[in-house]
Amino acid sequence: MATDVAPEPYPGSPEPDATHGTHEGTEAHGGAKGGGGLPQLKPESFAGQLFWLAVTFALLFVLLTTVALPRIGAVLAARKARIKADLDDAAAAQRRAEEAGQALELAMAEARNRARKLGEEARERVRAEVDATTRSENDRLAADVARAEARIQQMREAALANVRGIATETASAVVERLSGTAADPAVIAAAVDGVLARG
Amino acid sequence: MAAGHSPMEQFEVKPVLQQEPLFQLWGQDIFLTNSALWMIIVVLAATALLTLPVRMAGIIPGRAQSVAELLYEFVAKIVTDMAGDAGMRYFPLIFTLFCFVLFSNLLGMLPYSFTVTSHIIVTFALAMVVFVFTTLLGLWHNGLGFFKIFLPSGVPWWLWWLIIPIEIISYLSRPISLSVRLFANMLAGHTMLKVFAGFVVTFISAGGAFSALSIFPLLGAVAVTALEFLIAFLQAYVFTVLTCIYINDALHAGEH
Repeated sequence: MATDVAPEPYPGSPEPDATHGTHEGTEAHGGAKGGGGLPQLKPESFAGQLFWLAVTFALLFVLLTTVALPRIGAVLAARKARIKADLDDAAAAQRRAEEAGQALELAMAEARNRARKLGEEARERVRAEVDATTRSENDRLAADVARAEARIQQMREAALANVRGIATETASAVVERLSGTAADPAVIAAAVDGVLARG
Repeated sequence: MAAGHSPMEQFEVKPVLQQEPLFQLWGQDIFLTNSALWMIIVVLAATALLTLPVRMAGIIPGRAQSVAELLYEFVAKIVTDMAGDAGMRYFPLIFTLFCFVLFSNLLGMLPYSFTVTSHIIVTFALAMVVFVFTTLLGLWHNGLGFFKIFLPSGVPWWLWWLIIPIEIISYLSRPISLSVRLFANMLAGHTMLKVFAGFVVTFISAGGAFSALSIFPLLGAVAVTALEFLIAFLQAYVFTVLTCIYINDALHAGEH
């Protein structure tokens, strides 16, 4: 296939040719014009491709192993460590916040308790004051009432005493007018007393 | 046929910058080819992206640094998921494989670039790296117990004659499936792109009503381009996942 289009043999083809090396370039150039077969199946290019593959692959391996991979690995490790540290910090901060929250709640509860206690105390005090005032006022009023009652009693007694005199006088006057004679004051007094005692 | 318009022309390996071989190695002329140039660009691009934007002070990464870290953690997750923490010892090799394949696939999407991984010899060599590495790793870890990998536990003895050859063949075909999958995906995708793009040119140059029809292959090319970006990433991912599975097999062969 190669020989029918190519004036000179490819290297690696059976014909030995001292000049094949210098002509291979132009030969390969014209290969497409042959139009036959895959370029992939032309063995004359194999040695060169294998050589360059070995060289470049080894070079890539060395470059990646010595430079690129350690670098990327270090960056990734650094980032991982950084993220872990940040997460740890965040967790610690959250813990602190929770503790602070708990302390706050505790303080709030305490304050509420104290406020309730203070309120109760105040209420107690006020109630006691009110009670005391009420009692004293009641006492005062009771005393006033007692005094007033006493006075009323006195006045009533006085009035009752006056009633006896008036009744005696009236009875004397009535008897004197009816009988025309002055009545015995002692009898009148006895009669009035009897009526009063009955009434 | 029009020279240079073959969809396969993009896969030609040819010298760039100078036509003389750089030197001879074991009787082989070594040229600086387009393939070699793009391998070098892959190494430079991968190293640049994974090194330059990564700063120690970058607790909050920039965009490029995010990409670098994303790739790192993406591969690290594959390794730990597939091969466990023991597999992380081989992370540098796996990551190098992933980066080489990924950057080759992605840079191959640039117009006029060369897709390193579209050549079976390259993907096969990468697959052989994985195959030889995992086989040696398995032997080193398990000694002769590594060969228990050819006999899954729970197989009744009267099926051994069938299972063991199957397992051996499947083990030996690992580098082939690994390399052909990647190579074929890259080859097919890029060929399809070129064919669609070629249709656009053909239709336009046909003139008349055909010019208007060229919108369809153009839309096809756009769609295939998007698909190719997905495949570029997916194939790098698949290559890495399979590598990790093989490493896991090697590490735990004795427990089969």
